[in-house]
Amino acid sequence: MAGKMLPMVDDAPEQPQAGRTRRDFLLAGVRTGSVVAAGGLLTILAKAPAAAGTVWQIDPDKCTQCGLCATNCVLQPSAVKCVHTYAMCGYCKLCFGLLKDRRTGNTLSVENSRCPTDAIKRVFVEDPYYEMHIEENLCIGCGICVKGCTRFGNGSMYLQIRHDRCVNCNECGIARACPAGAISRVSVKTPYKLKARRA
Amino acid sequence: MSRISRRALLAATAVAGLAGCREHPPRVAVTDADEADPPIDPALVKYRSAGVIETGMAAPSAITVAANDAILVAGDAEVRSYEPDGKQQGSIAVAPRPTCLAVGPDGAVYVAAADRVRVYGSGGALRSEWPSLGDRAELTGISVGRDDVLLADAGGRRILRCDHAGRELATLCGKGGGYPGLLLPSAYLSVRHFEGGFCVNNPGLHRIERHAADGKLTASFGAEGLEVDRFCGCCNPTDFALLPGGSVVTVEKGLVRIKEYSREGRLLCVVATPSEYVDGTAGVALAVDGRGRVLALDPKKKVVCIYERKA
Repeated sequence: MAGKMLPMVDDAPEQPQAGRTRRDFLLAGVRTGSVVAAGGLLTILAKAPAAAGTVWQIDPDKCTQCGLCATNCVLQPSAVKCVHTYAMCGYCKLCFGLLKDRRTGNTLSVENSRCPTDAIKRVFVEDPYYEMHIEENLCIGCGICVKGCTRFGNGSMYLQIRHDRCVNCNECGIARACPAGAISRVSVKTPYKLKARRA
Repeated sequence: MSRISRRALLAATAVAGLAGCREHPPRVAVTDADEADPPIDPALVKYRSAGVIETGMAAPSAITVAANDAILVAGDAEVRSYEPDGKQQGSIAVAPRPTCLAVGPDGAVYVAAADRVRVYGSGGALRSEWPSLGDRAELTGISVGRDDVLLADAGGRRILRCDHAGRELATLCGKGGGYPGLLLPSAYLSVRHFEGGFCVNNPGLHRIERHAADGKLTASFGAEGLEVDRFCGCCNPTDFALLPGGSVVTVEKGLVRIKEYSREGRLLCVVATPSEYVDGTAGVALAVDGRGRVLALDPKKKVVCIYERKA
């Protein structure tokens, strides 16, 4: 049986107070007006459209792979994904985006793998070269692979906000949380900040 | 709807929502222990800093030492020379973005940039400009001997032997005959003349190799690993230099360690530890002078660090 809703304490009708002066009444009015005005302003701000013609994006040169992209996006899994510029990749079998610094051999076992969701697949190309494929539906944007690739490799793996997933919040949760200030609005005409092979 | 059924519905929704969040439940992949740099025994560090030269360049890229122990640093569009104590002597203008340099027996300065070599007189006049080695060429190392010039072409994954006029005499270190070739995940390849032959680094195989003059591999040492006597990461060492006694000084990227090995490949000591370099430092270039000092050009801080053996 559904319980009957009881009025909240704050909803109880205000009782007339003895000794209330005209000044008290006016001050209460000003306070109430301020609260209403502030509420109205917040409502307007909340309903304002996203900055026209812009979307959020990560600057890979500023990103520190802190891991907050995985947890602070309103979407779960995050709209942030690892992307891979193949022209920069060394095609190593011993890929540090894939494998931990400390390993037991170089096999692709769970204890040797960096990725927490097994989203990176090593595909043989020709001896001795291998290509790393990112399975985007598994990637949670934690940046652990990016950290390894940036430190020891060529930095060909990096994080980007995927606009087929991002809902372009007015106030981006990961931009607010980013300790490096790496996330900013960019023109929708150039929605990605892709790395390129060194000139 | 009853209280129980509403709770059940909420619980089911929550479970369904969580299950839909991720196709794979994430696990703890990398712990602090996995990423901790291996400690280096302080007793292994047998060099100390003997000074720092501020290059003042926007992009210093290469270093070498002339016969009189003058230190030459290439970068931007010039080569600056310094006295052994670090005082600047002068500079010459060269083609932009030099990648490596060496000094010939006659004092000529050989500077490579991208796909070609230019030779300058000690006064700075351009003596000759060699023809392009092709679009794929990316010269990252040069060694000038009495009879020939060796070029390390990282783009072509080869060593080229040329005469002093720039004519190609041979292409060396190609894959074949049981030799796997030069594996270069990133463009770090150096070459040095050594006892009638030459030495190269083969970073994809984590080793230093010694080759006969005809290119045949005669010896090598090195193995992959974080341990101090090994070479870390996917491709290291990135550069090396040969001390007067024949021992080898190497430098790595990722974990910037400068180390000295015997000519047989046994770790002798550590020259500099990663704590002396900022995160993200890569491409430290090495040279040694006649006094056995190790000179490391740090492209991140844009300085030359001079190390000398502790007394």
